[in-house]
Formats: sequence, structure tokens, C-alpha cells
Amino acid sequence: MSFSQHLQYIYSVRGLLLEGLGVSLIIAFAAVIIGFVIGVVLAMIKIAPKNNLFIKILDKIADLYITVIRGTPMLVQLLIMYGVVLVAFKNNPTNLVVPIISFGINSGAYMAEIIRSGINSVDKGQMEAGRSLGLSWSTTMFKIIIPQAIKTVIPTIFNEIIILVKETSVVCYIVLRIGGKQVWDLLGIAEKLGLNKPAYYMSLIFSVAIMYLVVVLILTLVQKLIERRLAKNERT
Amino acid sequence: MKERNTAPLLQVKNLCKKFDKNNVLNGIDLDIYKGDVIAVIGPSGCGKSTFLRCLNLLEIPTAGEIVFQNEYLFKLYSRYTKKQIKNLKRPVVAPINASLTEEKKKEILANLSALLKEQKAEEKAIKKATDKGINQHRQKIGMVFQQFNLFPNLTIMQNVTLAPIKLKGLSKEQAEEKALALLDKVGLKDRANDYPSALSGGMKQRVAIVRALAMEPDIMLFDEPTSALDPEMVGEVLKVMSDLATEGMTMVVVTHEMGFAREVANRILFIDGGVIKEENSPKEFFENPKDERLKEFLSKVL
Ligand SMILES: Nc1ncnc2c1ncn2[C@@H]1O[C@H](COP(=O)(O)OP(=O)(O)OP(=O)(O)O)[C@@H](O)[C@H]1O
Ligand SMILES: [Mg+2]
Repeated sequence: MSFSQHLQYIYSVRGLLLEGLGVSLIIAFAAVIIGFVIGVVLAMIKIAPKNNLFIKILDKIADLYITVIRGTPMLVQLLIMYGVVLVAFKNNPTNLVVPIISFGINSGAYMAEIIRSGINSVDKGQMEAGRSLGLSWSTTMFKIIIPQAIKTVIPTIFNEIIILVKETSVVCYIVLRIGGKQVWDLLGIAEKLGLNKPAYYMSLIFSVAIMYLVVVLILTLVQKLIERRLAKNERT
Repeated sequence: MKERNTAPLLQVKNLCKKFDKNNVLNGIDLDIYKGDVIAVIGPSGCGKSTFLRCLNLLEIPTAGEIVFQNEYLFKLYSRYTKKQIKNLKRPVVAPINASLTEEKKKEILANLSALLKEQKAEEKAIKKATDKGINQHRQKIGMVFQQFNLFPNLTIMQNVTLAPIKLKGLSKEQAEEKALALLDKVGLKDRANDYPSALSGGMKQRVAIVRALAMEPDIMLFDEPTSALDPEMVGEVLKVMSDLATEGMTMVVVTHEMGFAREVANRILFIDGGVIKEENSPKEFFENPKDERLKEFLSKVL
């Protein structure tokens, strides 16, 4: 078979592949948002002064969460969520919530560590200056510390987002539905098409690789733009 | 020392601070009156910064008392342990004291419970004053740091107006008007919209002073405000500080600038080994030092 036949075949299934990419990106970006929110909350818990029992308990829970999530493979977490924890959602007409929550929870643990180290990298004189004016811990945190921390964590946060986008490809291990209709993520659809046309299997896989690569390049570009924007107000 | 007929603005009693096993402050007593300009000097590592930072509870003291405007900023309170209470009750329950009359027993128990109640009330009052009040007290205690600690993510104007808008309920316009007036006084009105990174060290420190002043504090604490500056910028900051002193601001200044201490302060403290070794008026302090360590210190720095 010639190269142009392969191209023709891929061109003929482009709609399906793009649909698959769409599913992958929906899962990835919803998970990024959940992960970021969880990450901020966990980081706050880890960093807050441990001056009462409540926060001490939360701190222990956060530790456990981070340990478990970082200590087990993503695919295994997804299968456990699908089969046990979120089993109620499994048979919903639209069950994308299962992977979205699973990836979000996974990403949250990593985001927490990134955000925490970003906050810790801000000079501790900043918190002292805020507090010495009479500002509360949380006002100083949100007005002074976090805006500075964001600048330092942007590269690592984007790294995490890029890893997450690619990692969502393991979602092809579970059955996905939107509005009762079965859908596939990018790798999932390529696998499915490849079953019927084994001769084109490797072409499909290469196409998947190229599409992921393009998405990652776009994300990298966005990262650069944000960094340039933030660099305008140079820090001391 | 002059006789004072008003209560001190800030009272420090037997202030102690330990870092793990490192005893840094070992019982500092000091009454600070309105209008005082107190220079604090001493060898490196003697606890000057720690002392200053205890005054607005950036460091939590390990013992002693700090009273600010007649309210506790800090007080270590003790509470009887269960064991101590048991011991106190012993005379009542022990069989050897069978001779004790019922009346006497009742009296002992009543005294004990009154004592515990009193302790609890005191603990509660102190906790309330220190926990809840600290942010309020800090609004009245300005602090200027060696490293300026301006907020690099905010403009000069935002640096100065953030706290007044958040805490004093000023509108943005009111706060900015006031900030401009203060910035004008230190010659930085035209830099209001710059970010701190565009300013020299001396300018940053002047802004840091303005930022603290914008809260209209009753006392200002300075921790070596000129030590991080290039020599040619020291003068402009000291000028702002001596103007402030002339206007009657109460100030505690940790400094290595002996000229400033001599000219501007009305009291000078020498701290060594975590205690105030000597306190005197500038003239006596420099011309007639009594403490041996102070003599040695002065011979090195003068
Ligand atoms: N957060 C801290 N944790 C542990 N030890 C500390 C801490 N802060 C200060 N110390 C110790 O307390 C002692 C006094 O420090 P401090 O900074 O108060 O001295 P200083 O008189 O201000 O010195 P300098 O002139 O160098 O500024 C030092 O031995 C220091 O190591
Ligand atoms: Mg110091």
C-alpha cells in the first residue's frame, strides 16, 4: 500500500479522530480545573498555621490524599473510580464525569505540591510585612503571596497540564457515553478503527501522536504568552 | 530619667524568647512612652531583631508580658494541671485529715474553685485580647524592615493604600489622596504608579515608611532600616526618620547608625546577652558608659 493511500484513509476518518480529540480535551480541561481547585485548597491546608485541631486533622487528611494519589498508577485509580467509587455515575447517559473526577482528583495531588512550593518560594518577609500592617493571614495570602507565587509556578503548572492531557489517553480502558451514545477518546477511536483495518493501524497511531503533539505545542505557546504577560511587572 | 506622669504606651515586662534551646531574650523590661525615640544597639546576634519582632508578635514570646495602650498584646498565662488540682484538693480528701471540720473542707474547696474560675477568666481575657486583637493592635504598630519588604506585585500607590482601604474602611480616592500627601512628604509623589522594582533601595525604604504611616500608627518599629542600603542612600532615609521623630512619632529603632542614635533618640538601650545591659540618655550613653561590654562595643563602633 502506498503512502498516499494511508493519507487518504486518515483523511477519510478525520472527523472521527477529531471527535475523539474533542472528547479527550473535554476530559483534560475539566480535570485541570478540578485539579487546580483541589490543589489550591490542599496547598492552603498544608501552609496554614496549625493552630487548631480542625486544621491539624485537615492537614493529616491532605497528607493521606497526596500519598495515596502519588503512590498509585493513574490507570489503576481510574479503574477503581469506574468500578467502585463512582460506580453510580458509570451507567449515566453521560458518564464523562467519571474520568473527569478521576483525573481531577489525581491532578489535584500534584497541583497541591506545585502550588505549595510556589507559595513557599515567596520571601517570608512578604507575609510579615502584610501581617505587620494588620492584614489577616488570608488577605495577605490572597492579595500578596499568591499573585507572586503564580508567576513562579506557571511553568510547572503547564508541565502538569501537559502531562494530564496526554495521560487522559488511558481513558480508552473504560466505556464512555455522551447522551446515551457511546463515544471514544482520541486513542480509543484509533484503536477501534484499527481493529477493522489492521493495515492502517500504525498510520492511525502516528496520527494520534501528531495530534497530541500539536495540542502540546499550542499549550506551550499559551504558557509563553502568559509568562511574557506576567513578566511585565518585574519582581525585585 | 525624666519623671513621667502618663501611662506608658507600650509596656514590656520580663520578656523572654527561646528558639528551641537557644535563649535569645532573657527578661527585657521596658516602658515606652508617647513621643519616645528609642535607639536599640548591641552586637550582632544579641537579639535586637527578635526583641523588636516580639513587640508586634511576629515572634511569639516564650514568657513575659507586653501591654499596649493598656491592653494585653501578650501574656503567658499558667493553668493548673489536673495533677496540681488533685494535690490542692488532697487535704480535703485525705483520711489523715479526718479531723478537718466539714466547714473547713468546704472553705478550702470554695477557695480552690474561686481560684480556678479566676484563672479561667484571666486566660479567656488574655486569649481574647491576643488572638482576636492582634490584627487590630498591629494596625497601630507600624514596622519597617531591613529588606523593605515592599509588595513587588503592586504599584507604590497600591502598596501604600492596600491596608488603609482593607482595614480602615477608606474609599480608594480617600486612601490615594492621603497616600499622595505622604509620598509627597518623602519626595516620591511622582513615583506613585511605578512598581517597586523601578526604585532604588533608599526610595523603597521611604515607601516602606510611608506604607506603615498610612495606617496612622501610634508607634513605629524600625529594624535596621538603613543596613541594606548603599551608603549614599542612608542619609535620605535617616532624614525621613528624624523628621518623623520631630513630629512626635513614638519610635523604636534598631540601628548601627550611632550618629542617628545620638542626634535623634532620647533614650538609648544596649542589649547584650538577651537583656538590656544599659539604658541612658544619648549624652550619658556615649560619654559615660558604665557597662564593660558597652564600653568595649563603643570602642569598636565609634
Ligand atoms: N526564627 C528563628 N529560629 C531560630 N533561631 C533564631 C530565629 N530568629 C533568630 N534566631 C536566633 O536568635 C538570635 C538573635 O537573633 P536576632 O536576629 O534577634 O539578632 P540581632 O541582634 O538582630 O542580630 P543582627 O545585628 O545580626 O541583626 C540569633 O542567635 C539567631 O540565630
Ligand atoms: Mg537583626
